[in-house]
Amino acid sequence: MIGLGAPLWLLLLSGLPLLRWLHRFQRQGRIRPTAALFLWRRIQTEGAAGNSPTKPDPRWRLRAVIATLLVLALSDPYRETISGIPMEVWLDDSLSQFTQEGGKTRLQRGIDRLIQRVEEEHPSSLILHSLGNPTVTWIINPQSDNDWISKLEQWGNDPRGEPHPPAPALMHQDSRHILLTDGADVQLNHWLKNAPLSEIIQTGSSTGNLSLTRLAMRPSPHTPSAAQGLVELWNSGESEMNARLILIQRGREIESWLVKLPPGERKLLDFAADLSYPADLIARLHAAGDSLPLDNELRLPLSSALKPIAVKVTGECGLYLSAFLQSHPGLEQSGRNPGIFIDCDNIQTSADAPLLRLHSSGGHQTTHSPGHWHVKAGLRHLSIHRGLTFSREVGEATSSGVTLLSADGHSLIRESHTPAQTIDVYLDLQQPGFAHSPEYPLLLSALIERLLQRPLAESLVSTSRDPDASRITPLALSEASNRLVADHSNQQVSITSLPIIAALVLLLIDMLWGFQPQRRSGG
Amino acid sequence: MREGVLHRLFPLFGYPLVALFLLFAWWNPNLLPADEPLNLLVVMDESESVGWQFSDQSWQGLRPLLADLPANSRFSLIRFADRPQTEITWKPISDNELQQQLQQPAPPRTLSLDNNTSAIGTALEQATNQLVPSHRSAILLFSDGRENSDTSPPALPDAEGNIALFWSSPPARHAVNHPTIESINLPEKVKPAMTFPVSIAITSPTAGENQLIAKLDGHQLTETPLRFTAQSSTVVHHLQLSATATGPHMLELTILDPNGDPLDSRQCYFEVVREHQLLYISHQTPSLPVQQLLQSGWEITQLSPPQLNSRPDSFKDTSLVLIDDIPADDLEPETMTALTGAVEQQGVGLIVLGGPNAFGSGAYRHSALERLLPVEAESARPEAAAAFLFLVDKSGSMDSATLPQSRLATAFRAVAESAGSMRAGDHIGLIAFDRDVQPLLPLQAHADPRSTLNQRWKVNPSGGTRLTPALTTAIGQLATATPEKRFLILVTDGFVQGEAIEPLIGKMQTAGIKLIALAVGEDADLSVLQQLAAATGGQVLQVAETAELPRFMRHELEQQRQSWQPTVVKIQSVSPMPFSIPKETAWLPVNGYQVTRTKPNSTAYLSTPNGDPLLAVRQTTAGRVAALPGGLLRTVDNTHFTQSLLAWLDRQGHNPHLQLDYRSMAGELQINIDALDSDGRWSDARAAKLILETPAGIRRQHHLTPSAPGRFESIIKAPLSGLYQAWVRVGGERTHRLLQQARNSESIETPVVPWLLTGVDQGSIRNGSKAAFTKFLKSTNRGSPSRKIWLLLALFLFFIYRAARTACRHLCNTPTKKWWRP
Repeated sequence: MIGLGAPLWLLLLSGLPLLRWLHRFQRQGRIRPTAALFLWRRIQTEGAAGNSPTKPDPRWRLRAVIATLLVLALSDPYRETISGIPMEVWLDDSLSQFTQEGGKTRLQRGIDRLIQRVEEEHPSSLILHSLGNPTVTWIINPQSDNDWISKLEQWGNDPRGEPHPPAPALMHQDSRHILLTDGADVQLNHWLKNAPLSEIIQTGSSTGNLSLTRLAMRPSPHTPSAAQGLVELWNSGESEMNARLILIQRGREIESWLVKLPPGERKLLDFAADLSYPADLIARLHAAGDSLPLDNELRLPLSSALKPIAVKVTGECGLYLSAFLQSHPGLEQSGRNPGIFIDCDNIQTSADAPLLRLHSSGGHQTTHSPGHWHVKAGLRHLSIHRGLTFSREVGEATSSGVTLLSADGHSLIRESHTPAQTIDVYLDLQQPGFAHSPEYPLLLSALIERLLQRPLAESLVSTSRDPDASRITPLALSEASNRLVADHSNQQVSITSLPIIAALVLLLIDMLWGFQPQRRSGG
Repeated sequence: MREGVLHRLFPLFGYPLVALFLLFAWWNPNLLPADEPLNLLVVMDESESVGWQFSDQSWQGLRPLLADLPANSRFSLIRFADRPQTEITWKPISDNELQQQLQQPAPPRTLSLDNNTSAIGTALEQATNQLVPSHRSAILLFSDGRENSDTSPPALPDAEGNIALFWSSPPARHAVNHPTIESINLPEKVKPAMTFPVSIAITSPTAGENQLIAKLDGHQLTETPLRFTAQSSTVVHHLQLSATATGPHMLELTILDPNGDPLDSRQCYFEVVREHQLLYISHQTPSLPVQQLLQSGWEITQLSPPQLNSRPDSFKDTSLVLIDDIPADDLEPETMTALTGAVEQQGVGLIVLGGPNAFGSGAYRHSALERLLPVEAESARPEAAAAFLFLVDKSGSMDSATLPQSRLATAFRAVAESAGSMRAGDHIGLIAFDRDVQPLLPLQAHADPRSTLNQRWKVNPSGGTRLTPALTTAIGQLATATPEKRFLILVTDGFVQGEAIEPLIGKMQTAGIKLIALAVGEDADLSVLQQLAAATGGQVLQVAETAELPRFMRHELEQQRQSWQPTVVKIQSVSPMPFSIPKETAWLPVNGYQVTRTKPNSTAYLSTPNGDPLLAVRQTTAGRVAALPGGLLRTVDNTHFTQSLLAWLDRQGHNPHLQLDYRSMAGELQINIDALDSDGRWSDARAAKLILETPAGIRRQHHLTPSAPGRFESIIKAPLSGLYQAWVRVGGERTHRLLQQARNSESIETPVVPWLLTGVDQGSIRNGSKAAFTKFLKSTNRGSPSRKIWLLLALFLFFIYRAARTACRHLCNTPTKKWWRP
């Protein structure tokens, strides 16, 4: 169906009589050479007979058509169609969409249905949005891109995360919005009640899923070489499931269980492991009737997680600091891939890793009041008594950052970003009185922990999976069928180019007409 | 000349120009600035370091900014501090309600936020998640960039993408122009009466003089003048504090201006805890290894029961109470109430040592003290039933108006309280007598002796006392009773008229009846009673004070039960100790013990060979209670065991097997609980129970599941600042801790989050000035299609040309050489 977007422009057609009127005088002004004056009579006769001023030039019709076409172009003619509507597809690429059903994932089956829909409708453009990662958007033009099907099929082989749907008010009103989901996410189902969706492509029917939701391990308090572990399973399906759970380390099975889990229940299993030579630990689940294999494995990177932090020391740091580094189980002196730098010569101005810079040069003076921590947590309860010596080159005037510890109005410890996090210590850490106090190792540990932003003594290693992500049971999406009918609106595709091209052609004809040899009347 | 120009130009450029315009119309290039709508999302930081003033100013500045936005643009507003709060949800900028809101001097604030905390990352993440990447959008962040909630950095919009992020910060770093308390160094726990240092850092952006007021629990401690001579200076003020009362204390610091008006105020808390404070309750000197305990840091205070009764607040200053062979009735009800509160609420530990006067012999059965204990003062083995017949004198002398207290009423109360000593299957009867006999309760087994005996008896005290008829009736009933143990409990004031009682003695001996006579009053005539008791192996007790009658009666009945076993018994271990002791510990026999039985909710660790507990422990709501019916600590030659047991019970909320750590976050408390089992391994318990009491006194219970061996984690909403109390239970372990949710935890000293600065460096975050925003609006305009302009030009030129041609025909009389004539 054809229509006009701005029909008021048609009022300009009222100027057509003017055009016709202009053509009435086309021949009056024509100069006709005559040999003698008596011939003028004949001209008047001819004029009375054939060149009446009320009869316009017949070409006025052609020009009227040109003008009409231009007015028509101004009034935005359009053709109603659905093939030209941009199609925005919101793809739920969460974990549950990778449930295997009939040899394919739910996402693949949904994309297959989407391809069918695109082939039927031929949208002008296809915009794919990832709900898992809102920054991922693909734009495909199915009308010009011959490879669009294979592009579509390549959408995501791995879950991008749980859905983060956009604000419904911001979704383009002139696009057809299609949601591709399995309906297993409760939050998404709340969102689609308000979202301007035209259609929901829902795939998925299976409900059986047993998932590994947690794997954790920590050294035993009394025997650090032995570890206690915990693994958690969850039956997110609707029927009881049997499974075999195995733990693998260095390619060998170190523990296994046969598990029977009623629907909706979780199970925690304890295990023990040897940490003498830590290697990555893998928990793997083998369950019959489990449709989602992606959540059947969890891996603990013990080899890297339990490795001591490499500390690269530059300069002469003295006996006490060396003793501290050697005795701390969470630290090891190493120049390779350092997790932290300790600079005792104040020569390092910046580093890639966190830097602890000890200032010992320059004159020293003694604090007369206890140290005051300007931080809110962590270090605050570490008491620094009076009578400690510190470097005179206190840096409050020169260095940037904030004071962590002060005494007598001097900054004793400062923190800055250069760009790596840096802590400058102006306290003399080589004074024996302080180095032999219980505060000495506590202070160094606390400063290193602050730089690393994690506790040094914490050797708990764990990994977990959001249990809700493993819920694959599709929920009823009653809104979908209503939207399909109600919002299946047509798109108005502009056909303004047609009258313009037609006008151009007619203009060309009119011009060519003007190139015809001039006829000489009467001879 | 004019005709000549028209004549020449139109044929040359007329139609070609029209054709050219039409070609442009077909091409439809973008020419003019566009009106593409913009989705503008304003994110306002309302944390304390920014303040509402900046938000209000920013809001007022939005009015002209929104007026410049293209038509059909939309607007949304998020306020945040500890959490984001969407105030306006994507309204068209032409919306009337939005326009009215923009006329207000401040943004809408429908819900309050905890401005102690700033969570920029969370707010920006929520903002970016709302936007559609393919649409032209802008986020305008009004914030100082200081975050103290440690949220993870959000995914910032791509610098080249459709979403632009602008950051506008307050013009001056210091949002306040008066001194503020920057930080306070205060220990979390201190000992009673210990002097400890407190330091307070105060920052002032301007020079001036102020005062610092320090109050402890509402009482003013100090008033210190503050003098700031330079701009942006920080002074550290030191205080010395001490407090004696155990429990939490509040230190309140206030800065006053010269007029005495408060400028800034902070509250912080510390807790006074008593450890190794042993309160020893006994009639004799301590039988513990006192010297060793003193050397290991214990402070021991000894009180006798009367001294304790006169000072029931003694428990406030103790961490462990030891009751050594004391009858239950020696502790008055007020003392017991205070002890129960100290153990169950304050976490004070309790040890009860047995002896000839404690547990069953000390009338613990059904007492308030027994309710605290891990044992009940009766045997776990079935005992032979006994028959108890109470014979109460109701003569006129028992209820004389001259007496300060009715002896008869007290006698009935004693009978009622004696029911606590009855066992299931015992036969009970009650007879009142004066000159006549009035049976009140037939001798038989009663399902509930306590309620049976505890009732208002209808008796009319009058006349004299005739003992023989009453004894005859009582003996008659007892002689026919099924139980072999038969007791006749006689209560009288001793005014027995001369009667022949010899025939009765024979009957009593034949029936095996034992007489327990309680003669009330100092003037009681005991001769007749002693004669009877001596003949039956019974006892006569003279109760000088009427009020003592119930205690005497109860005690005597319990004595008859023979719960004290004065024999040497070996000790055997039945469960691993909950604390560490040397494996080679040898247990020496005990020289007697009280027969008890372990309560279902308690654990016995040591027992006699026949299963009677010698060490049993129970965990109450807060404190632990240990019962040692054999008085083990008196006989065991093991100082290590004694010290370990005392240390294990002396917890005052601190449990080495259960540690609660917390972190104050944005309106939340992040709680980590680490639990060990009794073997020192990580606990395999599947749940931790956490009760959290808010500063408003509301308690909520939370159930935590393990996240790792022995580790329980939870993030709990804690919007109120102040002192929270947490009680944790994992398996049989419990602990208690005070948690401080600090006010003013976010300040101008909080550093700007690094990812925000990195974003500015990388260009993904733009300067939020109005000029920059306007430039963005102009630079990203995509231009509007120009088709209509070209069409109108073509149409206009077409008509003009036709009109010009017509005019030319009339006006141009110069013949021209026509090579082209349209």
